[in-house]
Amino acid sequence: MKLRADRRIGLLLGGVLLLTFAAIGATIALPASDASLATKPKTLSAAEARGLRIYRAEGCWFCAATTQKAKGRSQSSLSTSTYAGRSPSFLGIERSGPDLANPTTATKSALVKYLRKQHGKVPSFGYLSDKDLNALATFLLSLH
Amino acid sequence: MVEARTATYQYEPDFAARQSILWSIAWLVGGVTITLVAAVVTMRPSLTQGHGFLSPALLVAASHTAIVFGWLATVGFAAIFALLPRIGEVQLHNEVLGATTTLAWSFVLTVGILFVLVGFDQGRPFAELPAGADLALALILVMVLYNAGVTVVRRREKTLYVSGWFLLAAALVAPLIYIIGNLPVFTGYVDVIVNGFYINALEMLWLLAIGLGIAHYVIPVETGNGLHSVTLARATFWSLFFAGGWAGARIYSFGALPAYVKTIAVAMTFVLLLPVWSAAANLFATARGRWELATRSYGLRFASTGLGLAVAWIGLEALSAVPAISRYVGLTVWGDGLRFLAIFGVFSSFGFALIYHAYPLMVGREWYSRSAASFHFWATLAGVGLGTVSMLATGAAQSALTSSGQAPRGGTVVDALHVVTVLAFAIIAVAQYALAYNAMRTSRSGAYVDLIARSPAAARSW
Repeated sequence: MKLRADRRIGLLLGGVLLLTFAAIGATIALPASDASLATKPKTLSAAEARGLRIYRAEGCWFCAATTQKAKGRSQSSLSTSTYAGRSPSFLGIERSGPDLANPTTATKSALVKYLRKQHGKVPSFGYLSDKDLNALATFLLSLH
Repeated sequence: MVEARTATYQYEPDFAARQSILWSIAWLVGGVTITLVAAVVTMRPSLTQGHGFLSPALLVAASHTAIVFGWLATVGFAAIFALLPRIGEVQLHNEVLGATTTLAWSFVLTVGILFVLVGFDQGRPFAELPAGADLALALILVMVLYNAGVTVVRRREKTLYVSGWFLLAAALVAPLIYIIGNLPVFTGYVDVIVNGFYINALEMLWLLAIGLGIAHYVIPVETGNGLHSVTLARATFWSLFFAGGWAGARIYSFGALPAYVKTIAVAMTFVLLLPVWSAAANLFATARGRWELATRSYGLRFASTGLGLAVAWIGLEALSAVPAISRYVGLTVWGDGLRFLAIFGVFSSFGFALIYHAYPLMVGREWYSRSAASFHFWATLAGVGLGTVSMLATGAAQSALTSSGQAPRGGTVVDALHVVTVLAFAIIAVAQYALAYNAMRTSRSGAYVDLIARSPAAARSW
């Protein structure tokens, strides 16, 4: 039994491309064009923007949460405005790190002091310059 | 009918495939080593204190890249370069181009990983490499597609066997998936959706498609039985590419995304049971009556193990996509456990099946040590089993901690399970060192292989 699709490779590949583009259209393009979900992004100060770059460069995004608003089963409380305008969104796929949107340390100086030392599985960032640590703390405090 | 043109290239057959297999083994050894170091440093961050480039998160990013794009993608290239010519009864269109693309891929990846370690991390899971490296890698994927495409166009055997469908389709969608997933132009919730699409498509449309292409070749050839059902294979292929691109949002079902996107993703995750389970049924039926061969054929053994693990993996993925369960295990290591099972269990097993089947044919020698091959098989299986169970248990424990209002990152149970996970990575790493040793000795000291007895004719007997 030999069907046309097996011999006509163009048909086979055309079908694959069609299905892939249909998936992209329905799951990416359609929601991306939904005006009701668009929210105005928060404008970051120069220090916050620098802190965000450090947050990304140091890989903090991998373990820590910037969008989990409270402990417990809180994800349903998230809205698209939580990460509006962010690129990358830093939603991440794992949450083994602390909830940075709800820091227990609420002042910048205390947060800088906290970041200098290791706490459990959170490594020390003492190798960063004072300017970078301050920027990182400013960014983290801007999350809540 | 116009006679098919044969390849005109002067290099020996399988040159590109052999180079790709050797590179894939090198990436495997490097990748499992980085993964083990990352797991240890994640448990004890003080070990690399003061060295920012060795921070746990950056090491994990490097290990993801080394394993997925180093080991799995490169063994995928090897499958394309080795199997498409055999199926089409023609030499690879350009062996030198094939070997060069693999070499260039490895070079760009190495540079990209070094850049990630010094802080040029893009901040997206499985898309950590800097934009310059992404562009180069996308171009290399296009070159692989070109080589594969021209090989198929020039084939002598006009009816393309099932494996060819999967391998060619994977080569076709790979550049598309890679470009979309690594374009740093999306923001907000669209960025989340795109990353979900990317990770899912990477697994389903690229790596799983390559894996099923390998399995549909190795099992019939190693058993000498024709494929049980081409109709079932056709159902496997089209259901995979029908549903594979739609299920991405399940990865971020805990995030704020449009409800219909999540609903589609959950539904399509269940549809994905069909391609995996149908492939398993078809290939297990193909091997019926010849299972005794699995005692001496490690290609057959790994291919069937990959199928068995795929059945379990896709079942767990579907289960985890159910909203009630997803709410419970979301934001925990549970998702990592599923990806670990897919990467080290399912996709790697298919990669090993190709290596154990094809490498002896390429070097003209049988595997040097059956004991090393046996150790590789059982240690890999033990490591995958242990790691999967420990990660899923960690995820469940984290979720229980979160539900009771505690931080999910610490606690005696979570810490103890992390030790088990590190042990699993160590077992897997040692197993891959055994494979590398065996491959190295095989090329020099293995017994000469009986090429006639290992003809690929059985794969086309349908």
